[in-house]
Amino acid sequence: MRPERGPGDIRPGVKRAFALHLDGSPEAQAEMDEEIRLHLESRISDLRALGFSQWDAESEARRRFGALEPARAGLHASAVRRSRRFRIRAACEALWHDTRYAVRGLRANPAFTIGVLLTLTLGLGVNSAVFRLVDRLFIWAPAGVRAPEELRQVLSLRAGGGAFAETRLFSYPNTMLLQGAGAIQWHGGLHAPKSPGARRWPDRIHVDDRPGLC
Amino acid sequence: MHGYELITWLERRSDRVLELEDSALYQALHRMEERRLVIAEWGVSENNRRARYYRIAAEGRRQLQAETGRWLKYAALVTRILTEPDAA
Repeated sequence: MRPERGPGDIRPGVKRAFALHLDGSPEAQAEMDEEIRLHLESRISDLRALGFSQWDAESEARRRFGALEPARAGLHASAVRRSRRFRIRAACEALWHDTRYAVRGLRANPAFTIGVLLTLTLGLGVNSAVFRLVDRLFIWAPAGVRAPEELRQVLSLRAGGGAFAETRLFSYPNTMLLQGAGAIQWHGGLHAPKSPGARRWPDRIHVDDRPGLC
Repeated sequence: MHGYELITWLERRSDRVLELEDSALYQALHRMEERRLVIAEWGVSENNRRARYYRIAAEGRRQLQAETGRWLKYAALVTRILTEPDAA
């Protein structure tokens, strides 16, 4: 069963989208198996040349290798650890080389450097503002709301000319009036219905029941 | 050399006295590779099989020289203690 999401939790799948893929375990294990296979086949071939029967050669090769399954598991583990360290080390080295190359280039062209810095400053500022907005709207639940899944959107529908005019904006006096009438309640700065769809004011109060509005 | 060649080389050098589990060699090679003492690369064996070849790195050679010197001193010391008559 999926655990309930609280206001401090990130939406499922978001963390995975930003995860670094540094594992490489299946490749490392497959390569280790290939190495073990070559080793055993070479040993068997040498023992056969010394006059061992096929069965004796296979038994002797396995005996000399060490208990095959535990040894294989141990070698898999060390191969995976080695592979993971290499990947992390390679990533760090690439980053270091790129940084040094960039710094050398920037020092050689001061005008270009200033242009880059200004562009970056502006870009980071805009990016940060947009990210903050997206973060608030789509990733994190609104701060201070204990049960974000209970939030609903409140619409005001006014009859006129045979159709309803829809508005999502409420003036403060109208909001207070609605609250006084029991249609909505204050909930951490946002409106939440006390009884969804129960009140009609001024013509109709519509509560959007779709979950996940925040 | 690939893993099996290394094992057989060790067996020949020790006149088959040194009994070492083959899997232990691979564990040791992994540790040395992580510490950049050896470099491993995939190649093709004499039987036309894909094999992982190991060669000693510059840092490994330095480490080997230092460890060899330490071992020779230690072995000479123990030999002297065990074999030379007491001077006093």
